[in-house]
Amino acid sequence: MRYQAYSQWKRSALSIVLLIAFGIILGCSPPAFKSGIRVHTTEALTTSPGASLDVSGVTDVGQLLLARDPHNGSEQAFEGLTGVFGLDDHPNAQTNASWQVSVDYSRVIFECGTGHIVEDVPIGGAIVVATCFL
Amino acid sequence: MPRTLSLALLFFVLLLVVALIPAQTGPATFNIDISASYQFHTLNKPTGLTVGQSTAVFYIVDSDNFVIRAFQPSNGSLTVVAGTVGAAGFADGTATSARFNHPTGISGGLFCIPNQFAPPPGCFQSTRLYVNDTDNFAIRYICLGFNCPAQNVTTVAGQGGSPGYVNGTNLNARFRRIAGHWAAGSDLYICDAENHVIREWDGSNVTTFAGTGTPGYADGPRLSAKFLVPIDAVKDNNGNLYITEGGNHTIRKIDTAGNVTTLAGNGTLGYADGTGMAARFNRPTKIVYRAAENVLYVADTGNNSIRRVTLSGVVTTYSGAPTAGLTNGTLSQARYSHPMGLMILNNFMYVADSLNNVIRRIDMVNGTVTTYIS
Repeated sequence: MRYQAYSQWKRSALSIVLLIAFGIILGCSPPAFKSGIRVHTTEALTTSPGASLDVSGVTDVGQLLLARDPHNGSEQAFEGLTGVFGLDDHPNAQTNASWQVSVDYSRVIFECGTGHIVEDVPIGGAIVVATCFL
Repeated sequence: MPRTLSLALLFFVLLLVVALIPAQTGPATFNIDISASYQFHTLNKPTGLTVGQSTAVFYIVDSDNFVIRAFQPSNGSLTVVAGTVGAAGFADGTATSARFNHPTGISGGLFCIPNQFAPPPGCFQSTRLYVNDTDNFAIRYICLGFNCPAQNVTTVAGQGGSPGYVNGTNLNARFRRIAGHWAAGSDLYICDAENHVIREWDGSNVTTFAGTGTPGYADGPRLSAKFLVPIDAVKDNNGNLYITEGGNHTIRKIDTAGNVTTLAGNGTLGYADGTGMAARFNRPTKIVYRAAENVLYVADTGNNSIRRVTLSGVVTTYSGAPTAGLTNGTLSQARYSHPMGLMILNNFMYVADSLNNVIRRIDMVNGTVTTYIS
């Protein structure tokens, strides 16, 4: 009887630990990309290749330049700030279109300044990764 | 038989359907690469750069400020590590009391010195630098941090205010304007520009490695070959030593058998890409070897450009043009003004752009040039 209770307690404890671990893993992972345009801002030391850190608080601006059909989403411009994990998602940004996307690090890392690209975003969307090399 | 046929038909139809369904496109990934730019407005004719075992800190020779500076990319700090800004002289001593007089070249950097009492990874950090202190006619050694003497800056070869041409033990040796050096541990190949020879210092003695002391231009065995204002030296992976010559405007090669040949240039000043003696330089200074490509890069100072030289002597312009300027952009758009120092680290080339008083950075993968430290 005592053994059964102990076993049940052990199972419950294990479940709780697993639940917490699962929660931590979920909470610490960046959300999966869904649609539209995702802006991801990072910084990297050229002295340590391969290692980059997410930077939040970077201004990101997008402007649709040329639309095509078929497409997903309907937003033709966006403006925001990257948040946790250095991400700013614009899930309703129109895809299958030419976009200009700009980032401005000045608020958080003055030395990085600004950068931009003009690219054709396919119908499946795009992830724009901005990296400031320190 | 009909069953086999039906299965084959079904398989074919399935294949057709799969082929005709438009591929589901996932998100594309685009990159925006930004190069940080640090503004201090403090450098005054930077001429040399180095990074050691620990790449966390670069060291810059700030020649006309008479100091050696350290730049830390992780926090963007630029500090003086030896000498005092604006105070030229010759004095060994602590980092701040030591004096330099137009230092130009530098080697070494930040190292991790193994020690049993050190926390993981089992070493203490220490800065160890060799500096050719041109107008003091001497090689200076800077030691900062763990296991360094109270006197951080010492003269290890030559003597301030006492030019000459004498081989011998450390402080008894004499030089006449050292323009550059290449270090392999404490074994230094020293370009003694105004004695027109390459000297070697093994940690205790200075000897003549190549040249006769008479200016000229002659290939041959190293001790009978002639040079005119040798500026800098570097070794390749096979042990061949390459010398830039400011006076003959050439790249000379000293092979492991001790024979001196001309790799590129022909003794005439000019600007021309080409092979071997068809190429022209205008006062080439810093030379670095990039093992990943097995090529040399040369600061062609008088041509305001960076040249790329293969080990078979094919010379091309890597970046810049003879017209001086301060323009960023692609490799060919970029303009420099008397580039003198070069350093390559992790696919980035750093250029001490001496008359622009800045450090430029070239992304060697993307081929873009930016102003890194101004």
